[in-house]
Amino acid sequence: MRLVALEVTDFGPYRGTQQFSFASEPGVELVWGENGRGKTSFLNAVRWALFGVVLGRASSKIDLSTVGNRDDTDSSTVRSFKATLTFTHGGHTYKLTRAYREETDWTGAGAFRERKSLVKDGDVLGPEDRDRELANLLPEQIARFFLFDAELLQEYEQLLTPGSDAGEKLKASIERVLGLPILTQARDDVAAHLAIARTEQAKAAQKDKTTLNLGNDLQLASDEAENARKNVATLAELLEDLQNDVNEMEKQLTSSNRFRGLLATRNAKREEVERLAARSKDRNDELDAAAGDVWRVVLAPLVAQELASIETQTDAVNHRLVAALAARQAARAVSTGVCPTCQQAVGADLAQTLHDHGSAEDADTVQAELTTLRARRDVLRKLRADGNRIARLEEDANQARVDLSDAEGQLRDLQAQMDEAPAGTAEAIGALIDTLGQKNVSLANTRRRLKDSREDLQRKDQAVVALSEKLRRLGTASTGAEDRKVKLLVELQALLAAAVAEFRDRLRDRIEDEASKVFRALSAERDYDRLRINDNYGLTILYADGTEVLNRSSGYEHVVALSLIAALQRCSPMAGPIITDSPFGRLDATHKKHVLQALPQITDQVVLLVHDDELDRQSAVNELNTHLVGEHHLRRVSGRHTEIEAGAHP
Amino acid sequence: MTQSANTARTGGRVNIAFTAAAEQAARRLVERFPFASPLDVARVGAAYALRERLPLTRPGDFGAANGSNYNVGSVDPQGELRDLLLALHPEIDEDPYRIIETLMSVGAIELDKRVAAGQILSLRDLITPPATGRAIPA
Amino acid sequence: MPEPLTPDATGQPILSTARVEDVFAATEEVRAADFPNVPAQLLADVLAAERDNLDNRTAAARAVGRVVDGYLISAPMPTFGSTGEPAQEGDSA
Repeated sequence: MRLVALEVTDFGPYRGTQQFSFASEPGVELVWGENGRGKTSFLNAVRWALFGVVLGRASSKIDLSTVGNRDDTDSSTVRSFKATLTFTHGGHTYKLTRAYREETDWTGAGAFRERKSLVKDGDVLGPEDRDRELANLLPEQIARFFLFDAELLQEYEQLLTPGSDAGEKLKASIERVLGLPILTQARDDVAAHLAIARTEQAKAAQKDKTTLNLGNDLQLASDEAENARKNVATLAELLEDLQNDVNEMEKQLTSSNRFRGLLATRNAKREEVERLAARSKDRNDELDAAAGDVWRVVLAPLVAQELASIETQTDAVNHRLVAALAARQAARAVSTGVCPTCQQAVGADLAQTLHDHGSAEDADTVQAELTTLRARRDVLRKLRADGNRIARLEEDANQARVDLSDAEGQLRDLQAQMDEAPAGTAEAIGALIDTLGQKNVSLANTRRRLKDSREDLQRKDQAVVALSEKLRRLGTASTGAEDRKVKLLVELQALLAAAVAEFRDRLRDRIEDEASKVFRALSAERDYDRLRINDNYGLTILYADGTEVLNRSSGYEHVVALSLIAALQRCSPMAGPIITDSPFGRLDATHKKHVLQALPQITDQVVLLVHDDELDRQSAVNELNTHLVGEHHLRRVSGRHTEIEAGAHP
Repeated sequence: MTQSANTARTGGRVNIAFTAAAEQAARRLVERFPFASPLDVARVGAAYALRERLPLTRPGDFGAANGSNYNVGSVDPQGELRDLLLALHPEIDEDPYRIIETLMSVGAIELDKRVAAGQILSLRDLITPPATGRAIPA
Repeated sequence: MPEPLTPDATGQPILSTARVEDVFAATEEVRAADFPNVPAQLLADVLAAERDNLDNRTAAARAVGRVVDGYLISAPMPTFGSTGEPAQEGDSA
């Protein structure tokens, strides 16, 4: 298959009718576009034309009523849109048109419907021919290997996790592209015919008296097995629905990551503000309580000075008191002629000397002065004031106030950022998280029930086989024809089951080999030697000595996924175009270069939807060289209007 | 309490008040600092005036102490301020609460001026004597 | 660098004849080795029925049923099971 042209009408940001012509020669085409310009929509337009689906970032289907181009903010109106893909295949030219448009029925009521048409070499095909051709051209299940968003290549990592739902789906797609369904479906169809044959065997046995009981038992066992099978199918369907719901919700949650981060930060900040407010209040209360002491602290230096002065004065007064007391003794000695201390008589000479030294100061007066000083000292000494504590409390209170004010400012900023989101976003996210939790519980329950049901089915199938085999071994004429058919189908089923296993092994060997070749071409790490495949087509990188590379980088996840896709293209002679969105997002310069060199060799029509930051144009031109067969760019006209134009960015 | 020979020192005042200007200053100071009421400012003002050695006598422009009346027992519940005043100024021979009434107004106004001039911005500034700047003794 | 490929861009359907032949060949090898009693033509016809109806499971199942029934009608009465008993007289319908 080779794409020739794409015409889109009002598809996403592509307003009006716009034409895109693919290059006619083999090679790589680059479509340049800024984020949000419509690269994903371009990929989706091709996907829509081919399969009637439009996918979002996490591979979930987008509601078609939101796809049509709109030039206003009224999201309630549904717009029609259309895509026409022209391609060649098997020497024929096809023109496939798919439209989403409003149609009125006979009652006059309008409803939006999907309409498609396929023109082959100028002839419009009827519905049956059209659908058969389309299913054969490019089955939707394998489209992921042709049309993909490289950001999602990491889902190939799921192949390394046995039993993961995403991995199982991917494995089914891989086996489909490799032709395995011919075998697995043959095996399943033969098994279905075998079940019918056994029912017929039971019916035939019931007609004969000798085998009646056995026939009844087989009939009953078959019915039970059939019911168990239906039960398994119902549960499997339910499981898939639940898984899709969960995927969709997880995607919605991912897209609201920024808001959720903001919400968590805001809530944490709000708690911090409350904590700081309480702390600030505590500090202020302490300070307020201490503020009653400020006057004492203010007075303290003066009191200290005064105390020092009183000490000095007290010393002086004490001296004076000693002198006054001595004078008083001398006076008494002079007046009585006896020394009041030693009781000896005082002579006239001595009395004259004592009289000459006598002081006029009265000891009682000096004593009173001293008492006053001591009383003042005692009052002043009582003053208790801790200035350091008040200063520290004031500092703490100020700091608490500053911290609170800072946090309040930050909280206001966060709140302002959150207010930019549409009203009700927080509530919607909360509800989504709740629902997701419930769905996950249902998912786990359903998985358990499915496992039980499968075991139940297995037991019932074994019972059927045992009874059927018993009946056949009786070899009565009444069930002869049915016995023969059962025997043939048993053999055929066993053969096909063995063939499935054998063919799978061969496929894995080939893919491992091819993927390793591509990987060596893409990888920049010389020590990485080859890839090893597991039962699910998951690929592990090996060193030359055969040991596994553990914890590979996301860049290498990307490289391994590309290697697998390339191997699948090489192992099945499908010749489809590869259109990929953001192909280089997670790759470093060396790997970008390697991928650019390898792409033209994987398939001969490659369209890369890239933005300038992802790929340097000059190096792309250099690396692709003659393999670069076309360039286009997506030009912004307005936020809701993009035009596809030929050539690189002007 | 030192028993003064002068009976005037024990005084008989029941109420004291700020002057009108001092009362306004006190309100501003209550706003500015963590003081619970003008009563705190009254004590701080008196202490400040004492520390700054402002005259104990009323200046000519003092005006009338006719602001809100405070009970002496509220301003100085244990007589601590009065005792300290008398211990610092034993020469006082009039009712110490009249002096305190003078000091609290003079001190509050002076403090308010310093705050307005940006010289006192915090309690730390207030309790640190500007002349020495040394730590305050406990 | 991978060896250059020369995909046939204009011709083959997604599951080309070559791929189907691979499936047939691998299955035939298994049959010949381990299930010689299953007729080669029956196996080939079943696989062809699937190949021709890959996009339509119901049609494929019907086609497989026709192939099996057709074989049982037209085939002689030999034993086809490796451990089977002799066919019963009169059960060739």
